[in-house]
Amino acid sequence: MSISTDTAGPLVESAPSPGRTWLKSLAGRRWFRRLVVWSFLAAVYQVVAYIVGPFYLPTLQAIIGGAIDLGRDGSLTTMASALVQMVIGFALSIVVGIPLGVAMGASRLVDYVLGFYVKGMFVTSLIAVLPLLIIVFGFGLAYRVSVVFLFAVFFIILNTAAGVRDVDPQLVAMGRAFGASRWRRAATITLPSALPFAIAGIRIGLANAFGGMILAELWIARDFGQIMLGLAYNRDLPKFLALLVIVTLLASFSAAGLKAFEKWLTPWSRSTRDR
Amino acid sequence: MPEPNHTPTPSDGSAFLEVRNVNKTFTHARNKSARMQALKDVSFTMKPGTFLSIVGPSGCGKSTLLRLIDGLQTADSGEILIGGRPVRGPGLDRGLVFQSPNLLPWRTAIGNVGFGLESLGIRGAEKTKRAKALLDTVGLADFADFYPSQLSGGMQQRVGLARALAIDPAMLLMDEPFAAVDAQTKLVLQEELERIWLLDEKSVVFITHDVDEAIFLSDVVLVMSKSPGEIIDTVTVDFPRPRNFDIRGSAEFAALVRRLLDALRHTRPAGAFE
Repeated sequence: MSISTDTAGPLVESAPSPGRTWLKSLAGRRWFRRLVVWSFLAAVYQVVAYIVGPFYLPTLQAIIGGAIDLGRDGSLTTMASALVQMVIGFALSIVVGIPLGVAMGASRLVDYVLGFYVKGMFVTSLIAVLPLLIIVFGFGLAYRVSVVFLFAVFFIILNTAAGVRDVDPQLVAMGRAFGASRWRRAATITLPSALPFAIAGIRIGLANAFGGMILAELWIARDFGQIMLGLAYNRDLPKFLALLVIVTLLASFSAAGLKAFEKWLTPWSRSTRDR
Repeated sequence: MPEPNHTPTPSDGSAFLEVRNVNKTFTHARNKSARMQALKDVSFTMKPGTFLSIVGPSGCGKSTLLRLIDGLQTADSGEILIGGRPVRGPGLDRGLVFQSPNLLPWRTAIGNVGFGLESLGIRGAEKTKRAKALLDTVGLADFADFYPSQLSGGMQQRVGLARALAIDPAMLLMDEPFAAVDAQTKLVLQEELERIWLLDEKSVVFITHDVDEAIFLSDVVLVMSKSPGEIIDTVTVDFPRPRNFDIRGSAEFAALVRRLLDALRHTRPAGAFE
C-alpha cells in the first residue's frame, strides 16, 4: 500500500503581497483576534460608561480600583473561602457522580432504581430546594457544599451514563472476539469510550457549581453573600463589577483548565485535537 | 504444520473446520412474527491450511456464518466443529478481522495489535516485541505510535489484520475486510494478504461479495444464495502461488469469474422480513 507522504503545497498559489504578510499572519493568531475584539468591547464600554455617568456604570479604571479595594478590605479572602467550599462540593459531585453514572449506564437495574430520582431531580428547580437545605444543614459548610453538589452532580451522572450506553457495540464484540473478560472489556473499551462524555458532564457541572455557589451565598446573606448583597444595596458599583469580573475570570480559567485536562487525557479525541 | 493442500476434500475426518446443517433465523426486535432466515442448512468442511472464501450477495447471511464460526453468535440448529471440537464461544484460536476495522480509538496502532495478546497473558516487553513484529509484517512498522484516526482506512485495516495475527490463531476469520477501501488499495491489500498468508498458511475463512477478490485469494470459493443463505456452488481455484496481478487477465481467471457470477445471478432476489 502506498503511504501518502504528500507534502507538496497547493498547485495554484497566489503570490503574497510583500509587506502585508506579517499583518496576515498576525490576524490568523487567536490571541491577536481576541485582543482586537476585547479591546474594542472595552473601548465601547468605556465610552458608554462616560456617557451614562458613574451612577449607572463605573469606568474601567474605577473597576480596577474597586478590585484593589476588594483585596484590601479582605473581601477576596472571604470569596476564597467560599471558593474552597465550592471546590469541596464540586469534587464530591465528581467522586459520587462518575461511579453512579457508570453504574446507571452499565446496569439496567440500577438505572431502573435510581434513574427516576436522578432525572426527577435533574428537571426540578434546585433553587426551590434551597430553603429545605438551609433547614436541614443550617448556614455552614455542609449547606454550601450540598448546594454546589446538587447543582453539579446530575449533569455528571447523566452524561457519564449516556457515555457508557453510547459505547460502540462493534467494539464490545471485538473485545469478546479477542478474549477480553467482562471486566477487561469494561476497563479497556467501555470506560475510555465514556470518558469524553464524563468530562463534558464535569465541564457543565463546573459552570453550574459556580452558579450554585453564588446562589447559596446570596440566599443566606452571610460571609461572601453578605459582601455581594452589601455592595449591591450600597450601590458600590466599582467593587461590585470588579467582583463579578473576578468570579467570571475564575470560572473561565477553570473551564479552560478542564479543557486542557481533557485534551491531555484523551489525545485520540478528534473534537479536541484540532482546537 | 500439515502439508499444504489447496484443494477441498469431502468430509474424510481430516477436516479442520466442519459446518454441519447450520440454521439461523433472526426475529424482528419489535414484531416477533417477522422472521428472516439468514442461513438454511449450511454445511461444508475445510482442510487445515486452506484459504476458503464465501461469496454471496449483500444480506445473504455470510457475515452471520462467520460470526457463528467465531462464536459471537450461536446457531439455532446444526453444529460447527473446529479441530473436532464444537464452537462454544469466541476463542483465541480464531483471529477475527472485521469489515470496519473496529480499532480502539484511544489506543495507538501498536496498542491495538497488543489487545489480543493481553488476553493470552502476554504483557510488557514481550507484548511490545510481538506487536511490533506484526506491525512490521503488515508494513506499518513506522506507524506504531499513530492513533487510528491518524491512519488511512487501508492502514487501519492492516492494523486489524495484525491484531488478528498477533494471537497466532490456528484460523483467520475475515469479514469483508477490504469492502470499504478504495479499489487501488484493495488490489495492494489482496496481494499483501496472500504474501502474509503464505508465511504460515493458516486456515482462512474469508467473506466477500467481490468475485475477483475471492478467486485471486482462495483455494476454494463457496457461493451463497440470497436469503435464506444456502451454499449453491463450490469452486476450486488452483492457480499456483504466489499469485500475481497477471493471473487476473488470464482466460482461466475470466472463466472462473464467469462461473461465479453466473451462480450468483441465479440466486433468488432479496427477501427481507416476511
